[in-house]
Amino acid sequence: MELQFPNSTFLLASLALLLTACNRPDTTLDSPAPPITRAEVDLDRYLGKAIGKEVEEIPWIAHVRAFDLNQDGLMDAIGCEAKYDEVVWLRQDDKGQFEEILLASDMQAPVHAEVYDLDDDGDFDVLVSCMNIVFPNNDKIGALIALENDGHQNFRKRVLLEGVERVTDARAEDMDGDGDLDLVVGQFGYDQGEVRWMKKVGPWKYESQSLLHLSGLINVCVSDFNNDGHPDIAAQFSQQWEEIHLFENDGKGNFTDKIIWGSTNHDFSSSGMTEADLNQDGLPDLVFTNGDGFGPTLKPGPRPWHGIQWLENKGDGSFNYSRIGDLAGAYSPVVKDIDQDGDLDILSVSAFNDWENPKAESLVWFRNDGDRGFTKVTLAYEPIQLLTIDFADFDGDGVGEIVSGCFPSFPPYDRTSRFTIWKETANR
Amino acid sequence: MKKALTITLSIVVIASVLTSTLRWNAQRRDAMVIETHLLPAPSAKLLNPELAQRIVALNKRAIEGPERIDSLAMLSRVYHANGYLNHAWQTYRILIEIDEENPKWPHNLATTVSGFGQLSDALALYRKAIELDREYIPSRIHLGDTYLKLNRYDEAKVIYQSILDNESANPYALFGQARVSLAQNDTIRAKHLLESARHSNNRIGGDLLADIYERLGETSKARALLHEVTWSSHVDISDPWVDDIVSDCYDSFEVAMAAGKAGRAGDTARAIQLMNKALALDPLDHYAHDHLAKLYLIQGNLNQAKKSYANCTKILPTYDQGWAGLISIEIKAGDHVKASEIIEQALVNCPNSLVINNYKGDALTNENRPQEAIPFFETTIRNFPQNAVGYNYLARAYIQTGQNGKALEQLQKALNAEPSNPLTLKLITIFYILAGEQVQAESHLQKAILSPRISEEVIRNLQTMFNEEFE
Repeated sequence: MELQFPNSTFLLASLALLLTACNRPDTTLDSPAPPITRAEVDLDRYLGKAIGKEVEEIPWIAHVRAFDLNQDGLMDAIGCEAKYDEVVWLRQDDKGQFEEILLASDMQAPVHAEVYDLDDDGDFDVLVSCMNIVFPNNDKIGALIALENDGHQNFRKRVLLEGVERVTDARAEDMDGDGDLDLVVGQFGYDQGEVRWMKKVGPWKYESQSLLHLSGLINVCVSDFNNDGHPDIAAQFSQQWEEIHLFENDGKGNFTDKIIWGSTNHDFSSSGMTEADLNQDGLPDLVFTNGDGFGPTLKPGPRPWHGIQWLENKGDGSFNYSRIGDLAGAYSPVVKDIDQDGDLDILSVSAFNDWENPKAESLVWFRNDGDRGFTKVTLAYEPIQLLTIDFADFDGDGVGEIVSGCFPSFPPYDRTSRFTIWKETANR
Repeated sequence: MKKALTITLSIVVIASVLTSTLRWNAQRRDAMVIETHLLPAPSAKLLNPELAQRIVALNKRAIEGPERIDSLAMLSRVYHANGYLNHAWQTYRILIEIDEENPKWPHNLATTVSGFGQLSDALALYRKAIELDREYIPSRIHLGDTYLKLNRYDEAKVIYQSILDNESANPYALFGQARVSLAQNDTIRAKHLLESARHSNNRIGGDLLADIYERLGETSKARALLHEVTWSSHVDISDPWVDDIVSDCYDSFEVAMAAGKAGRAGDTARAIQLMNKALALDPLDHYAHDHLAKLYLIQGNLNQAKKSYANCTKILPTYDQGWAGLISIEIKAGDHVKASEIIEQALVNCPNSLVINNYKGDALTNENRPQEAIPFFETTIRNFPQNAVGYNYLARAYIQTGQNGKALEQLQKALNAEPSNPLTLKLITIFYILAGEQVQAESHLQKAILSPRISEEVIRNLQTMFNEEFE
């Protein structure tokens, strides 16, 4: 039997087959999708008002911390003025006015202050990290100074550490379970830096133990990150490292170092880190910013990857990274329930932005939708060059207020302030 | 015969139809993938007009063709270069899908993803890039660094070692191995690796090595190294697939940053080229002119440096660094008359400038008119109390006028402002040696010895002076 070759039929069939076979369904891309920032503007939510001294000079407010220092039930704030080497107390009176009181002068460029009862005498002392020179310097000129409270808010200076790489952060915690407050110290340095813990061995006496020699330390956070009942240390490093290390504590003051996050982008520009249980699962997370504007050229400025990140604690000393949102020049992350809806939000400021653009954000709120989604809400365009904020209920109405500090490190020097208190307009 | 011919012809026709259909289908699929996944272009209102036009045209061509892939590749480059990283990110994802043999796309996406800190996601992308091109070293270094930062030291080691097997002096692989060794507490191995890395590229590892020397008690080595390294001297590995993207950048700030990066890596010619590009985009950026002048100085091109500094003073006469640059060049050239003229012009425009007041005071001091110099240094100190330089100059003027007590007071203020200022430490040590105050002299000499910013020669001279006075 001779095979008949049905040319046209075969051709058509082949084409139809091809069209079906090759018309593969559209693909979902396999690689991870880019983060998209949802954004809103709400300039009316808060009204800012300058507090503290009126000074015409350009301020260098490196840090502000909300704390009721004299325990009179009215929230105060502690501020670090790095240019004039001062630590100040913004004391609130019962009329809601703030008086700026000098706690200590000649403080060697203070850049961070935390409040603890360091000597266990029932009043609050101030632990101050001092860089000595804020701008690049690799000399061992850093200091850690405690301001000891005599119980009446008179403070005596006690130098706990000096002649070391420039100190940028220090926290007090009982690291070895012996019942007293030890210290955890972060030294930015410049080319050389260090993280150490200082075991308390007597009244105002400490013994240092080095944990890691690495430059560019921005912040340290102390909490039981690996859920083993002992406080661990998280340390954020900038410079060319761009890493966050976790020092896991065995409870006796022995630490194991591991990296829990990093970027291979040497200009990532880490700028601040705080510990908070952002998803309220009972485990301390880390929220951190990248926004340092200084780079390899003369003018600092924003970079496209600046923003806010969340390291979600998995409970075993490991963390999952999530991008919260973009913010040029982001600094000073603060995690609080800003809108009182039961979930935790994030506040941040911009220290380095395109200030020639009047719509460059200065103060920003990342509103949590309670389902791992955040919307960026611009709260203010000025004062510009804010470096530090804190959030607390200053007026006792149950709704928090923001206190901010301004550190103009580069022109323009207009639209600045020293300290500002931001009250919610709805509750003002 | 006829039948055979018919069959052959049929096969040829079918093959050709098949090929065309396949190509057509592939193109249709590419078009569908692009159209479905491409992000809408950013608002043209915010963009440089030429950039906006290019984005619109490239979007159209990427979707409609012809040359969809080339257009999409160019679009990814334009987005990446101009800071639209989410757009670039998405474009790279599409390119990975439709141009799957090209290693640039996973590499560039890995760099973008890692740039935001998503290391876990970067890992697979770097692996893919290496699978497609084993010869491109930056992908392998970044993969090693990614493993390192994920605490996967053994895998990091393997990657670094695979580079060293072919290129034993690769400084970035040596540096990576040193970091692994440090993480595993093998300080001695880390030291040797860092020494080798610095032997290949002295802009790498100085900071870590100095720390190791200090911890091992090799203080003179640490001191010498810290004196040699430029602060924050670490440089990234050159990555042409990403670095060259800047040629499509319309943002003068980003181009200037790339210039700074090239300059820091020691490629002055490239830095100058990029800084000129930045200035073409924003000719009124006085900081870029200033930076360009500094780059020309590194090249030894004084004329171009002068022109660039002069541009600074024309664009913004109150920008003191432009004047300072011009003054510095004239002083170095020995033309003090010209320098003095510029100082006077600069003072009119920048009456409170630290550097200009110091130049004026210094010029008067050099003319043996220290008393007249004092008000200029006082202006400096009034405006910049946190800076040691003004106090140093004032102390020197007081010494010249025989007011040693006042000089000492200024030096102490300088040390208060900047505890290890090299000039202050030198001056105050000499002061105490000449005053015969051994305890103070010795104390400050020790501080000088501990400061790596003071040269070995100065230390030797101070030591000799001290010994001659007190031994």
